Amino acid sequence: MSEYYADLRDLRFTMFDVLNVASLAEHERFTHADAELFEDVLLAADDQARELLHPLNETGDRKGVRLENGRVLTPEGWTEAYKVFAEMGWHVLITEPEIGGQGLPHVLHVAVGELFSAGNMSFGFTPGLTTGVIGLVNSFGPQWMKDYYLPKMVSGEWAGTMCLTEPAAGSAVPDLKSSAIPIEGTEDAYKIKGQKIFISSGDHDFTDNIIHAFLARVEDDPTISLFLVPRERPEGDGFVFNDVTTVGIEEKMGIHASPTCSLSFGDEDDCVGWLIGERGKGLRCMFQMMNGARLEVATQAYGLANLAYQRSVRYAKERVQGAAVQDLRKKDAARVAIIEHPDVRRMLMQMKALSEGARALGLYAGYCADRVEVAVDEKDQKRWHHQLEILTPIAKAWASDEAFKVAELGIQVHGGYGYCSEYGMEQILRDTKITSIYEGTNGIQALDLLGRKVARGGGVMMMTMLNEVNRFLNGPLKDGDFAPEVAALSKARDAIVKTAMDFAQRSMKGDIQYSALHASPFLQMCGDLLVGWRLMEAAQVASKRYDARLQKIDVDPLDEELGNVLQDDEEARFLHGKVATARFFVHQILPRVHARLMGIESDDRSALMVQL
Amino acid sequence: MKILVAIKRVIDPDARIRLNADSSGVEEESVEYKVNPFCENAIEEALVLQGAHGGEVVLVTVGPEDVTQTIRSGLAMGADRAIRIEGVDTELDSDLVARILHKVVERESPNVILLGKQAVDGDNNQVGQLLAQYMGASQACFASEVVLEGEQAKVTREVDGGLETISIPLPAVITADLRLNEPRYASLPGIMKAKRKPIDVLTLDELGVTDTALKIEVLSLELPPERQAGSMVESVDDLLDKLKNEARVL
Ligand SMILES: Cc1cc2nc3c(=O)[nH]c(=O)nc-3n(C[C@H](O)[C@H](O)[C@H](O)COP(=O)(O)OP(=O)(O)OC[C@H]3O[C@@H](n4cnc5c(N)ncnc54)[C@H](O)[C@@H]3O)c2cc1C
Repeated sequence: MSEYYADLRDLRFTMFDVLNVASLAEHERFTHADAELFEDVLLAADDQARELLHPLNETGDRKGVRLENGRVLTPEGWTEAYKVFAEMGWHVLITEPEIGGQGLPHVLHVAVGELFSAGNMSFGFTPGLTTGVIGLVNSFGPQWMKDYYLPKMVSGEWAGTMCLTEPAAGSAVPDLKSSAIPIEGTEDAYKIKGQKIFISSGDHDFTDNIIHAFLARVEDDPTISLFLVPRERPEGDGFVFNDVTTVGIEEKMGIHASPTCSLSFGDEDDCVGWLIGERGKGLRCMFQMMNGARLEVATQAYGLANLAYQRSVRYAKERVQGAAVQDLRKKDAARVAIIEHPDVRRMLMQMKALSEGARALGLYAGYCADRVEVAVDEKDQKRWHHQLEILTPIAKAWASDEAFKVAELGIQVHGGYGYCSEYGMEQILRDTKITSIYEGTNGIQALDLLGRKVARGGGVMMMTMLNEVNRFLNGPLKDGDFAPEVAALSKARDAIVKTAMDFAQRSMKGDIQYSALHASPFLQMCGDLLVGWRLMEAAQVASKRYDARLQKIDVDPLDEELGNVLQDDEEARFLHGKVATARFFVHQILPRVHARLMGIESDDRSALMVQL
Repeated sequence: MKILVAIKRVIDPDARIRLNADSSGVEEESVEYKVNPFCENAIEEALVLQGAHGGEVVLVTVGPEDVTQTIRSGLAMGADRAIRIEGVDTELDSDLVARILHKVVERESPNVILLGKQAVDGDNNQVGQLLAQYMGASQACFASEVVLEGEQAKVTREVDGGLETISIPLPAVITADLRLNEPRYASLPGIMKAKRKPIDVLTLDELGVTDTALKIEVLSLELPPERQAGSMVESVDDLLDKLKNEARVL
């Protein structure tokens, strides 16, 4: 009963009409990635999400993975689907062509990621992690490692994982205890020992070998290093078991078909790993993979949020309940579909605005990553890189927090049927929740934004970001039809600047705690502003197209029958919807920025003082 | 071995179809097109045969410039090149398409011509049969298995209530049924390669098709009646009663 839906129209609109991603093809790096190719890839991804991934979603949730004789088994049909998916080459979409990838833009990777998440979130882990490990080896690994490991991972025969978390090292990754001891007579081989927990795709039956990107400390180094630890290590002509045992898998709230494994490395003192990058630079290397993964988590989150919205809006058009509020007193008032009830419309618009807003931000972040790669000079590169740095924690945390609320509203719109399993709404809620926790909890994202991004370099990254917003706020829109919205966005921007200055002053006085207390609300404020900005950019484009559209179909914008016109004309309905969504966001959601500002300005320290 | 595959695009079968203002045709603005599912089976079979016997797979379709998207998705599956015959989808009928394809066959001299057994939009199921007639060649429609043996094709056909296996001489026309195979997905490298594969464009004039008169005139189209609201029944007896007396299906 639970269906897959994607909003290709909005994806296309955001990419082609708002971001003009087709212009990336003007750069040497992406000459092959013209609008036509974007379109072909998008359609192929949509097909795969619908036909290959989604049919496995419900059974994946019900049956989940299991551990038998020390190995993880995935549900029926998953291994076959993985093989097809890997052969398609989805996991090397952004990988450099020199090593067999497709070298396509990040923004396209973000776009298809959303579709795959909507199709089947659990399915995406193994390919996604493989992409990351390929990137690590290619960027930092020695030549022999690239030659040996990359072809197998690029072909999809071998999969990857990221092994950071340990029982006593969750958010505090540097507290990890895993160890590596140099093996004498070798250049970069180490004896590995350690316990890792919560490792996604740590074990499965998709591939013959699993390649772990593993963080450990060499002897007594204060710093951390990164290793490549295969499950099966090459020896002679074949392979030997590399002493990586699957100790257990977690029972959990959602993503039941994604194995979350406890792994034990070197129980028999026979686990070998090879250094990736320089000794002591492990965390820095790992950040490359984590930054990519954080954006992917955002796409996971809003992929599900958008699915929740798509299902809910369809349901609301079909479910008949009660009479319209203005007809309540009439005898024999007609029963109406619940979409006629203002409160249901409020919920649907919240869902639409938040999920389209997260998409707009996610795609923009992907686009920034591409602009970094095609930058013409240092200044241009900084412009995009600074934005990407600011956007990564915001996109991750904002999208995952809001997606969970969207999932919750999705259940609410379905009423009792949403709480029950039939429509798949409660699965969306359970699956979405993890996105605010892994890849650095949203609390950690907020500290990253404040400590690493906003505070560094006298706030230059944040200034670059706000410059982009200001360019829009000072543009032609501030005097026209959208003047109230532009004014509201400007006020939100002022609130954020004020908060950032306030934090800076406090930290000069040595008051770190108060800023840390408000780091999450600050991130949410930034997210609200940036999403509002992206949605308004979209509205600006949409409103011009909308006027042209009405002219083309010969309809007066003030026509009393406009509602019917919008029902019949998909194009006009879409464009009208984009403008309405942006307005709704700016007037109904953005004002919470000021409530948060009031909280921060209050100087209220009760959460710090209280004895709990 | 040269295999010619005639393909057609259809409006996404899952999309809501709307009629144009005077009900003379389907509204085509902002609709999504897909390759007709039976044509995908035909492409897949051509690729399988090519894998076994070598040679070339050539796609052909009749349509305006924007059908190139549909052609590319076939090229992305692995076909070598394509021919687009300039034309308007809605100004065609099965007979004209068959006559156009006949000219293409004369130019290309393929050993095997594969088509879908029918398109899921018009459901006519005629082009393959007509083409074989114009060519004076053998035909095997509704194929669920194709084996090439020298100058012969052994084809298993899905006929009412069973299967029929026939052997026909090449060149021959074969139309694909759904059970013939499971069409592959186009891989990402395939999608990227497709953009560099040649698509020849020919006009009807260049092809030598002078008579473009249609033999079928569509008078009007109608949407199926809207589904009526359902009602809840109180008991199994009520349900049986309704099925017997209202729906009259029992
Ligand atoms: C399904 C699943 C899949 C996972 N996949 C992987 C994987 O593939 N690889 C991997 O290495 N890990 C993985 N993880 C681990 C995940 O990244 C961690 O769970 C996460 O980083 C949080 O660590 P923790 O669970 O120990 O929580 P804790 O660190 O104990 O955090 C608990 C709470 O305290 C807060 N907190 C902790 N420290 C601070 C601080 N300094 N300042 C402010 N707040 C703080 C957190 O925000 C959180 O709210 C996975 C986890 C799950 C559940």
